[in-house]
Amino acid sequence: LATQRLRFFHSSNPVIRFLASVKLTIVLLILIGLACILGTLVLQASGIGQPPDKLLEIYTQRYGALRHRIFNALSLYHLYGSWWFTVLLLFLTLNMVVCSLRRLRRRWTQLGFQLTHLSIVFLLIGVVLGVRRSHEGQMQVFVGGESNAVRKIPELPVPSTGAQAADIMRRFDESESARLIELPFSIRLESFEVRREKEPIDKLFFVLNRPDSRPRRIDVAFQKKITRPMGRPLEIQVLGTEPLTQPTEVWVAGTNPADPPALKLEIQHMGASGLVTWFTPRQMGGRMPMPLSENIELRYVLTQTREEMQRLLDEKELPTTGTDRIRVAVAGAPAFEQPLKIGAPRRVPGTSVTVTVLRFVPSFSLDIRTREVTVPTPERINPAIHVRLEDGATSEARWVFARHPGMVSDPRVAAQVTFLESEAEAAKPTIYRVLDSADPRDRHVQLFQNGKRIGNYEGKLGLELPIQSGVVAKIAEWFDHARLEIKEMNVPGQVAMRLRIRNIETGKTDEVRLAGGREQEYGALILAAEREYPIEQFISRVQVRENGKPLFEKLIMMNAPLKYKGYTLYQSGYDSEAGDASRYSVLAVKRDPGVWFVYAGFGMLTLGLVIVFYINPLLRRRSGESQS
Amino acid sequence: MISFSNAFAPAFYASLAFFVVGTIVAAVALARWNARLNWLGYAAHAMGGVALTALLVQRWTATGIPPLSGLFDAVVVFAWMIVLIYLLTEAILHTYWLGLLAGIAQIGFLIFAGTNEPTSALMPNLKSAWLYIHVFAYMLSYAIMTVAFLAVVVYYVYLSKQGDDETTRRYDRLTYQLVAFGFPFLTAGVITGAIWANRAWGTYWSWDPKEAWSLITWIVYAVFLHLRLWSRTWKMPLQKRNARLNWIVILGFVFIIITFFLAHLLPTAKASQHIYTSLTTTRIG
Repeated sequence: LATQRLRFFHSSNPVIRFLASVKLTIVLLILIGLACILGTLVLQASGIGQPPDKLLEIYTQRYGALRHRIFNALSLYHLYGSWWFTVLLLFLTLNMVVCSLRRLRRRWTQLGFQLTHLSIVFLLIGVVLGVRRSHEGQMQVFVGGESNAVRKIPELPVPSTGAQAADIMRRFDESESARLIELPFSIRLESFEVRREKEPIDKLFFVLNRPDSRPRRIDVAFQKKITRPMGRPLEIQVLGTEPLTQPTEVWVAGTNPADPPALKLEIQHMGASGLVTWFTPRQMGGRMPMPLSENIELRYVLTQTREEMQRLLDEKELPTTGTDRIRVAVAGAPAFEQPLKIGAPRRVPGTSVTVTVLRFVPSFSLDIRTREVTVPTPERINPAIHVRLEDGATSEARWVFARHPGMVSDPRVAAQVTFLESEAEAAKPTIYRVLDSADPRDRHVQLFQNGKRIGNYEGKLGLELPIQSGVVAKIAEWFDHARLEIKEMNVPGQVAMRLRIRNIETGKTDEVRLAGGREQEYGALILAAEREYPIEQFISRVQVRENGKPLFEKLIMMNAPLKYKGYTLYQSGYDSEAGDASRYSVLAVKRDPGVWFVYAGFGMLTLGLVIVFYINPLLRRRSGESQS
Repeated sequence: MISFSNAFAPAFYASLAFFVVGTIVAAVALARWNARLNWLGYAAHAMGGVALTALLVQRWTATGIPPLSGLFDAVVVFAWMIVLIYLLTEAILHTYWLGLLAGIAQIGFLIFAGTNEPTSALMPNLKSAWLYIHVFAYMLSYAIMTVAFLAVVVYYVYLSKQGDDETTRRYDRLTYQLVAFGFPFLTAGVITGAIWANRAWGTYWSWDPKEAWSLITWIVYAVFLHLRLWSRTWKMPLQKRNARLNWIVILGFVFIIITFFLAHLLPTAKASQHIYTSLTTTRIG
């Protein structure tokens, strides 16, 4: 029977002969090639990654309304998934199958040919299976949080009219729950780390002071001399790099009775000392997050009288009143503090700085695709305010995070803004409240768990406050008075660069010092010294859980996904605004049963080509030699 | 305008100088059809190849990663492989023409490489052994296809006028053998790229413009291989048949250049995974 069937393919039936012909192969390959070219010339909807109404706007603006409709009717915006492109691929597969069967003979020399052509069939089966049976989506997990919900990212049709756009959006919104897949297991994110290389890379940045000029960055480890940068008649010689220092406020013990008391804490891990931190009632309103722990807060209360101390010692629960406050510190003026109010620009007394609160978000997060600030949850997980600062002609808008007060990127206005959360809102699960008085013997530390007091301790030197297993904060010293002193300190992650710049035409030579990322103008050139610690890896440490029980732990990294129960989880994104301090990780989740057919196709194709082009010619030559 | 004056400059300029000398000598050798001069040009090209090898070794030791990441490294490897394949082909075939043409290609590619900053570190998604296999396979196949293209140019500019069937057959076989040798590597480039993408992003094919153009290039050479098979049935003079096939090899080379150097200029390139604009990483091939 089998031979009979094969004979069918060997018949002189014109349809079969056409389907098996190399002519058809060539025509189909050319058509597919032309379609691919078209797909790289017409903007693909998946590449733009915008909602339907935006797509409509972009496309009509680019191609005009009429051409947009024609293009859309021809599925040119989802070209590679369009029905006619699929038909071309199907015909190619049919061509391969018929051609293979027609030429099928039991000969070893046939092996390469058969493997090569049947691999295309496997590839297509894999692709079709992938399209029909695969799941893919993204899950966002917060550090300490657990999730099994995967949000699918659908490929939405492109609308031709505004009404269609609204319709697509409506159906998209209605299908919200259908787009959520639940994994048969859940993922707990233990930690997320942006690991950086130990060795920094120092670069000299330069660009012409013109909007159309494209900046260049020269790695000064490899290149010390730049001739005619951006066509300017200059020769720049990099003389050297050094750590950038800047006057920094540091706490030192003092004697002035006007200065506040201070606590010096030493963070110890398994008995080994590490980080040292100072803490005073003047700092950040007397509240700060415990180093190394997100869930613990430190509070410092300086009591004025014995009665006040006793009242606080007797408190069994934390009071839950208060309002959010904003605090602005500008050099040369007393710190300015007021309740948080959106809008209403306010001049900081005694300075030329004006501050306006633009926006408040209870949980700051950044959409990876649109780079827009989103609010994933109404709970206070990462409260932040968007603040505009103006000082004369300089102005900037910056995000200020209540629970990450140190995080400011690229400040232009020299003012320190702090967002002080109300006590009720800030309440972290664990709070250590330090009670201090004028009497060094009357010092206490209280431990509150979820607002309830569970311990009163005497504030003695050497008292250890547990942070997490194996880690404690030890009271190393207690100063009656401490003050801030200004010292030259290395600025981490910044570099200073010394340059000698010679004008080739006039011979004039200058020495220039670039400090950190601050741009300096020289002639028509803008220069800056950049230091970067390149990202080595993104690491999500996850625990895989099933039915509420932990199963195993795994590190998910770039190029090292987690595979479990047919699903593959890839490191995909993080809070790029928060950068290294990202509190969540975005994992891409895939399940594609077709991939094994694709891989089998790859294997067959490779093997087939090696046989056809390397082994067969060798064998032919050998047999030719033996014949002659 | 080339503005390249860093730690890699000595080896870079040494190889460039050797290639310039080799190209000029090869041109003179060709004009006079002088075997001794041709070998002199060959030797100069070989020295350029040695200097280029030194440059690659220096890059490898300076960065600690194989010099296959970033456009600078990729193009230098491209030029390096063209030298190797030229040296092999010329040793076997004594074309006299390849020394001039391969020399021009090498000089062009090196000058282009010099306009790019050498990469000093890799983004995490590039940290994969597949990267090196991917780029290596591509650069090798591109170099082979470039020499196949040069063989076609040699044939057109010079030999086709002689019109004898023996030369035509010889160059047809040379072109075919080069393409047939390079095609599996071109395929390996596509496949390793897909496997790597699946490891890194969970998608083996995302139709980004560089991927699409690499597939188009692959299709052009697949068409060439099939057409050559089919062309045996054509009833036409050998020269005419050969001319048709040669046009496809030229088209293939044009598509390689588009894929490798120009894909980032396409309107769809914004969404490409193959284009990096971060501090540390420039475009890669």
